Amino acid sequence: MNQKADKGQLILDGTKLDWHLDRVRAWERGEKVPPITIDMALTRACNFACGFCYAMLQENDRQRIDQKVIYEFLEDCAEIGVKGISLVSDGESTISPVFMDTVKYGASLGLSMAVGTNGYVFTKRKLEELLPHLTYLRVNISAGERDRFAEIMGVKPEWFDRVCQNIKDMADIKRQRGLEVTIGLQMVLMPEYEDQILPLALLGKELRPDYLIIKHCSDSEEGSLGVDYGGYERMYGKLEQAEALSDEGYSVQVKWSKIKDEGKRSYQRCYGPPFMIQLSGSGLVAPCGMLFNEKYKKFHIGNIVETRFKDIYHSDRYWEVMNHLASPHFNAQKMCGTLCLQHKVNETLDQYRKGQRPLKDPTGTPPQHINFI
Amino acid sequence: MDKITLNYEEMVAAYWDSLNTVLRGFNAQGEFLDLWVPDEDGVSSILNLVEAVQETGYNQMELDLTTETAQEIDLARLQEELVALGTVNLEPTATGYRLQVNGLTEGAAFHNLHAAYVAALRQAYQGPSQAGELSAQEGLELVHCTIKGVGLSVLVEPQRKIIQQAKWQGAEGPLEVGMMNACCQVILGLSLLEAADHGVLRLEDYLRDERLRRPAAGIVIPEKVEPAFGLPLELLRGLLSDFRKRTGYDQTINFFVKAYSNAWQALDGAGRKQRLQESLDQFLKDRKLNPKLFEVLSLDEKGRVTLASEVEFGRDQKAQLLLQLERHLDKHLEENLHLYVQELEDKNSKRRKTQENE
Ligand code: SF4
Repeated sequence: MNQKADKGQLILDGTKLDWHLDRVRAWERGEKVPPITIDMALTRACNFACGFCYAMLQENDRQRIDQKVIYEFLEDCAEIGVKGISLVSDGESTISPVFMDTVKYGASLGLSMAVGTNGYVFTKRKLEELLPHLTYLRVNISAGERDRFAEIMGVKPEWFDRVCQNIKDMADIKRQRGLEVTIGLQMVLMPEYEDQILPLALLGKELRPDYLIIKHCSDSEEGSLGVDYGGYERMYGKLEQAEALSDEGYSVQVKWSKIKDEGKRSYQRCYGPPFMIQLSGSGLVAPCGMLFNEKYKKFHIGNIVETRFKDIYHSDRYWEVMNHLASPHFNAQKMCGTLCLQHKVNETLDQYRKGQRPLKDPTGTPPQHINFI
Repeated sequence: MDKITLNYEEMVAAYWDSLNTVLRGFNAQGEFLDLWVPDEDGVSSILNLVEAVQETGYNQMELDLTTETAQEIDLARLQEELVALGTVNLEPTATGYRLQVNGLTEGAAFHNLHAAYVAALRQAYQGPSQAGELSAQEGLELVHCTIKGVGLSVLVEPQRKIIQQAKWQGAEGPLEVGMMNACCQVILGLSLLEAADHGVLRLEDYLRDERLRRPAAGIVIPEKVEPAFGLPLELLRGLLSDFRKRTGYDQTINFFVKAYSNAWQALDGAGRKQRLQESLDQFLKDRKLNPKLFEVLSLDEKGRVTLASEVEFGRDQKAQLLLQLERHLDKHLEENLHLYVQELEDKNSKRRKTQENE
């Protein structure tokens, strides 16, 4: 069962890498360092059809993650020193038959477990069973009104009611049972969803999760999803109004740093993946989700359906790919989509390597969700 | 002292003989033998011997090995280890092998260096010297930095801050001289900011022998795997800070991309595609791989190359080859070519429909 040591700050727009400097120093010495966080999915499938979904661009050779595969994977993670596993990535993990077992077994091995979901298939009973084992559960919801929800998320309007009920149940269960789990909502904001910023912030205030985070939408290097990064600036006022709806126990936060970056990167080398890698719902191990598509085959490291993760981690191939990303042969500004999951970690390490930012042991109370960097 | 020729098996036999019969000063055969202790592991044993010969001051050594001894030794590992001491050559003979190690005197300077950098640094040391002074020229700005007695001067084109010429002063010994010669080569055509940010990464990549093991189990951070990279790192950062102080230049975000070579720029699309296919064919030929493994489908202005492959081969092998091929093209054809295979469409029909309707 997840027991958080204390109630530090909830960092939603930043990195917690500073709290893992032992690993950063070992990385710098050229040692093999296990990922602190792994973001993965148990399937590539999804029961929703959101217009902004990056998973559309991540197709690769699908294989099935069954219980044997995932149990061995979790055991390997615990053995090599992975600290947190988030079930987010490129599929809706809650629709995998091994979802509940994965969370419970991972937590029993001492791994911090987290979930990102559309929140549809839960029932109150399932939530009661699940929540005690999680560090956080985040529901992806990009609209606060029924009809717009249906349009944006590609589902029937009545699914909105079920998702809202589930969010309310999550918050209630947490409070009634005094659980440590953080319940969050996430809005992936496309400029054309501007009308939903305030309705969603208000909906959150009513359903009482711990937070609502509003973030930019990622796009591929060719702009396949057509995200208009210039279109965010006109929404700053509304975003500030949404933040002002925060109260004690409900925080609305905007990922300002990424929104203001307008999809641009300050770095060319990519140092983050050794600390935070991603697995596709096909079992594919790749440095990051933006490189899942078959098109990026050169970066594909292995597949946990075929090879034990600990063997993949120790393989020369794993470190060859990680080294390539950190080498002059790679340029994230030219070769990657916009603002990946590892962006903040990359930025921090790049500044450190360029002598622009020192490594400093942090002081004070560790932040919440420390194993999800 | 110039050259010594030895027979390995005779040396080992003589050593044991002396050990059994003589108490002190038993290695009367040669002064260097005082330093040599054979090892159960053949590679370490020969390595010890070459080091002993080197320390005694010989520049060249020949060592004969019988076929039986050679079979028990990992010859590839032996050659890899010996690279740090000199130039290595292994030739078959009527009775086994003759191992030649040349340039031991100079090799002593590279002794403690990681083996992956020795060959290229030795070449840089022996190659054209980049030592010299630079003075300001019309339209070019002189930037200079000195660290621990070693100076680096560059002439920079003031608009894009591109380094046009580079010279060093005060480097001593083969290692430092080799490093500074290589550094002056690598930074040509880079912006000052790029040289400060990534010059040493580029230098490490340029000097590393890819056939040898990577110098770190994890990520290669140049100055951590090999302290000799520390000097160029400080110098390149020093150049930028000198320039900032004098001109007020305050750009920190680096968007530098090296321009295509003149030869590449002179080619049209078809010409570039042809050069690319030739380089690809050579890569496959060198590795004795099926020449039809990859075909160039497209190559765009941004250097994005899409390859197709009709041939069935292992999933992992394909991934590995693609990465190796990209590095090969980077080093031997053009720096900014990036390889992709054909994109796979989303198999989730519901999600795909949403995208198609938009
Ligand atoms: S910078 Fe590029 S390669 Fe690195 S994690 Fe982000 S998307 Fe992936």
